Amino acid sequence: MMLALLPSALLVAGLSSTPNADPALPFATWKLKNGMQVILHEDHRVPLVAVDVWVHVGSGDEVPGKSGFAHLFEHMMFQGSEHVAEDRHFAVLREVGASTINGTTNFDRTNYFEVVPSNQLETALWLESDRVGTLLSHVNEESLKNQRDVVRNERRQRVDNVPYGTSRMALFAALYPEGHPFRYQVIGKHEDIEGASLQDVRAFFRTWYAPANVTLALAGDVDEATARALVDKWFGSLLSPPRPVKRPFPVVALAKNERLEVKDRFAKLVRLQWTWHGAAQYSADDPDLGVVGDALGAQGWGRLHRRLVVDEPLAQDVSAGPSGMNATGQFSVGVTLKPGVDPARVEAIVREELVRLLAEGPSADEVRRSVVDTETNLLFSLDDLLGRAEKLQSLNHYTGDAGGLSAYLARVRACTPESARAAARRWLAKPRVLVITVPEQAPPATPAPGPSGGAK
Amino acid sequence: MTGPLLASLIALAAHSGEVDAPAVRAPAPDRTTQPAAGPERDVAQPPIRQFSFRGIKGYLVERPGLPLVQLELSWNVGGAGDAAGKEGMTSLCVDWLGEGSKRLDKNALENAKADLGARLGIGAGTEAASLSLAVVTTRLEPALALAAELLTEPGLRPADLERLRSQAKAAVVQARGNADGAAGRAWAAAFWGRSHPYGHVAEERTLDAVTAADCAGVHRQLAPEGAELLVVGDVTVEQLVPLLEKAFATWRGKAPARSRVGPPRGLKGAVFFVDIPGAEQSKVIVGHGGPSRDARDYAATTVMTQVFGQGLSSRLVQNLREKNGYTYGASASFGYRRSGSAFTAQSSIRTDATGKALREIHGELLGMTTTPPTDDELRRERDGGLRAFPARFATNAAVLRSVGELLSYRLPLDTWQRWPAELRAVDGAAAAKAVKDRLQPTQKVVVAGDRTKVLPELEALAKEGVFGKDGLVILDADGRPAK
Repeated sequence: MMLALLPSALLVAGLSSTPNADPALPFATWKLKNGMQVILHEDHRVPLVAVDVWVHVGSGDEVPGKSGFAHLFEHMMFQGSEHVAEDRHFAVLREVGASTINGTTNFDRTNYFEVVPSNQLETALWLESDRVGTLLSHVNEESLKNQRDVVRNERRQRVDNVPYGTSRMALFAALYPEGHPFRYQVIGKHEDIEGASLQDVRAFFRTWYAPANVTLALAGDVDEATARALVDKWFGSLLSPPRPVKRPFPVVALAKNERLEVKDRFAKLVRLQWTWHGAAQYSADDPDLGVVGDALGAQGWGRLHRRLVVDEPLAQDVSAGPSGMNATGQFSVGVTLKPGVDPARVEAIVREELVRLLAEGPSADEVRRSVVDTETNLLFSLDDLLGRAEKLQSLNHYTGDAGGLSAYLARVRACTPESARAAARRWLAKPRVLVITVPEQAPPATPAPGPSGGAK
Repeated sequence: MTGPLLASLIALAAHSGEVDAPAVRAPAPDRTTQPAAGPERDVAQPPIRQFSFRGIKGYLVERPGLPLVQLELSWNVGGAGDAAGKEGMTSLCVDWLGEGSKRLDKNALENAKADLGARLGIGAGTEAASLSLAVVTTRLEPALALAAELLTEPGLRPADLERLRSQAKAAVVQARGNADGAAGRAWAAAFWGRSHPYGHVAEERTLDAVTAADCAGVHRQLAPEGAELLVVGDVTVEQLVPLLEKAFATWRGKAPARSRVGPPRGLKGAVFFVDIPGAEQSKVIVGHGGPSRDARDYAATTVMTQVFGQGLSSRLVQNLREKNGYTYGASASFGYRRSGSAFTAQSSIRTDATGKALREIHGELLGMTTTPPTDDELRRERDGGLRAFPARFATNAAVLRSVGELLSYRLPLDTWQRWPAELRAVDGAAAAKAVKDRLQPTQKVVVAGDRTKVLPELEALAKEGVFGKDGLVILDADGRPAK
């Protein structure tokens, strides 16, 4: 049905295609005695290794009054541990030639990663195991105070001081009731960040940073015998407290449609965003909702993009699609309007296209284009070692099977107009939140058209 | 190639899903010292194969592996050449080419791209226009045909130009409204000057002034002779060139050579301010002019700049973020152009700390002179840079960047082969000399922030002459002195 993605004869070290032309990610996986899981993908072409630590805790595991804490904690993991002095983590990695160093926090997981020359792998494992094992010997009031400031600056830079940042906060508050751990997004509330204490840091570490709650992925130029020996050396002797029990995220529903108008000091273009509660990442409906999102909002050929950006043209940009998390997700349609356009007109068009899609489903051509796009994006994401480590980690975290790539691709390719329509009906016929962002000060009127006729 | 593959497939079969424990538990290791490195594997720059067709100079780096090809076809055509009063012209006109061909209107073209899974685009920056394509190898041939069709049989439908024009105008409206966007526009005007080729600031009226005839002039320049093509991926020269010859069989014409660009001629003033009412952070840009990319002390300048302002360990970030908590991040670099460069240190600073942070940035710049890069800092940035060398060629995108840099700045194709030796030679004296030669004692400062909270501090800084004696100038978000 689909265009052949890969030549069937393709065989390379590290990455391979199976006979039915899927990209495959060969890997080995094992567990240490203390419960820590290891995933290894070998590729010896370039002397680099991606070291990617996933801790299975995120902001969704926070308790009320502690919003933003999981992310603040991630910052503290870069502030030193028993044998690595304050601010040395980055410096050591930089000196050994790390080319990518960072950490990120989501609703359901936290990751820490670096890509290092393969002959320096042991230094990366030393650093990672020291903070996973001995963070609490080092944390102190001074560095916590500093990181509270840094994280609040991060919130300003991502939320408070940028166009549409306030609207996103308002959206989450409308989707998730007070007490739900997603309500204040990953970044959290200023007052909660400010209120985070050393005691919170200690308790969070003791609860969540057990080796049994950690998965280490290595991707690149290291053989399995070496990987097993080095990982066991640095992580094998860490204590093994019990694996923490995760509370399931509360699954919530909207009782009725919500409509919010948010004034924005920095956005100068009106934006409409519709958001539904959606399917979890890698869940049965996720690929079909991806197809639905593309059919509506794919750049260039999605129906809303075509109608609102190209044909009419009322909108500056359009986006649509699912964003899945563990156990739940969202589906959004966003439209940024050109200056002077009547939001009611755009609202009517979006409603019309949604009704049509729910009634008829996407066309076979739209399904095919969406699948080709997913296949192509996947291949490009596997070009770098960290991308491969992240893919293995993500499959492992969300599906429990790091080897789930082929099954995932098969599921994507099994999408049909009918399955996409059914998924759309299951999720998008429910109540949703519409956030309308309105510039606080209207932009100046558009000057008169120039010699070529100007805008229509 | 199949040996390691078979081995890894066998490993996969043997171990996937297995949960086992090491037979002998490892003793606790000595954590007090950093482990020793293993033996280093030498990595050479992958060979750059040259070819030519229809007057285009071609460069290919073969990367067998994933069946992907990425390419960039570039011309010496950019916004630097926009006529006064038509700022934004080149970008708008080049975008127009990406909207369709004679045969395919916008919607049909988008369908064709999506059917191929081809990431195909064309656009222009300040100094170069380029067509870029990323596609699965098996669909390279039809994707190249589509790319060629855009260039040789352009659609140029008036409705497409008007749509792009109104989008470009809306983007201007949006950019004026926030600290990041406004500071970038003000910096172009304050440092380069709005009439300088690198300082153009597009506005609604300049975009409205662009005509279809202007665009015809731009499009004539996007011709084969004088263009450069860089290709990276799972393809050989022997496979590639016949595909190119076939796709571009009817393409003719001469593209322009490079034009020289003079030194900056920015506005008189030391501190420039743009009001963003209610801003919770101020975007600050502190900088001055710099050398061109082919300067002999490029390696020393790079190391010195990294010590100053790149990464969490740098002096700038340690000060503004880790010591003072004024910001989430900061960075400094020389932004190279084909002629010259601009050194800038940039950050988004919590509004109430704007003045204090500017004093700290100034202090750290002075500190580079009084305390040049130390041995520890040099080891971190120089030796780290040497060890990180393989990452420059580890992905298609990285190769495109590394080799593209050589083409952009007309550097010899063996530049990366010589780079490790040049980097290794950066000692304390070389770094200190780069500080002395390349960091200037006075800077221009652009701040976009909340006037009621920030302006008094900036007035004090200007009065004291911290950043030079040319005073404070208030600009609008188009970089014009405010009335």
